[in-house]
Amino acid sequence: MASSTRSGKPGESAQDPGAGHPHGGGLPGHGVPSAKAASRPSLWLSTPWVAILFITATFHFYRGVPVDGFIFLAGALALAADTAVRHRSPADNTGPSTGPSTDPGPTPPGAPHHRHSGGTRSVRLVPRWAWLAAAAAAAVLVTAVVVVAPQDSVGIPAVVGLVGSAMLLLTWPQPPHPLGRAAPRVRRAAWWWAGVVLLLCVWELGTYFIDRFAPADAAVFPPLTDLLQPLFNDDSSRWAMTGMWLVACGALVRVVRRA
Amino acid sequence: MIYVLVVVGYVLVPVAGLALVVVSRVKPAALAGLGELLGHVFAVRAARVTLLLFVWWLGWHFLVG
Repeated sequence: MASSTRSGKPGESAQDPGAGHPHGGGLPGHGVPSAKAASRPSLWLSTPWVAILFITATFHFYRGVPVDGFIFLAGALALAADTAVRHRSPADNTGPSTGPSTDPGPTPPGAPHHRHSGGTRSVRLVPRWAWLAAAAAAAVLVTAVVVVAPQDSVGIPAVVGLVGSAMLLLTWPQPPHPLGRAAPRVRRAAWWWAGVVLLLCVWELGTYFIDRFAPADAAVFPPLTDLLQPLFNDDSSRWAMTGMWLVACGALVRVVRRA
Repeated sequence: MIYVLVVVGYVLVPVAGLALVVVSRVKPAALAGLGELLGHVFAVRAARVTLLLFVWWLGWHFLVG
């Protein structure tokens, strides 16, 4: 109702997409966090992801792959520090305290505050074709190094590491405007996709532990790595698997940057 | 036999994902697409970095590890 929208009580109006949502996303001066205030991460939304990284790091240390453990531990520590620092910052502080900010400032009253509204779309400094060309050239270069370089050379970890660094640089900045509360169809999709990912995790961990503690002459429970690794080792399919991985990385970065 | 059963379990994962994609295309009012879902999930930096780290690590694991 319009009267309740103007009452100034946070989360009161059902018409405000940000009302009651941990990300806020409402209008300044109406008791709902502004875009700057909403740049503070919600502990409820951030902590589970940090915990997942800590658990994954612990698992990799347990299975005897310390390099992978340190990778996930570094991610967990960085996100934990970022979440803690930004959560403790005052709401009227000047944006996120870590990483480059894309926050354009508070949304003026009455202005559209949805990220897809187009009302605050930034000017594109680099043309779209230039981004595509650069990404394609980088993908070709990475694939060539991965396919041509010897398996134990320093070139492969170098280019794979560069891909990760580029992904982090492109996706670390926080989107300028938070989304409102997700629609039921989005929440439904989240549950279904979480089920699919959970199925994969349970199946992988189940086969790992059964195989680990099974007697030596018992049946073989192959982990996913044993099933897919031949495709990455074989010269005829290594380039295709590398390309698929790069496409997946690029698609995710595109989803982030589209905001 | 157990080997085949384990492989079938792994095959079920992409099949289920593909089914969700098809349903989201056929009935978009009932189920959001993966891109739209990720757009919401990626609004949180911790979620964004975590999911991207996992996808990147797959490449590291198979190509380097």
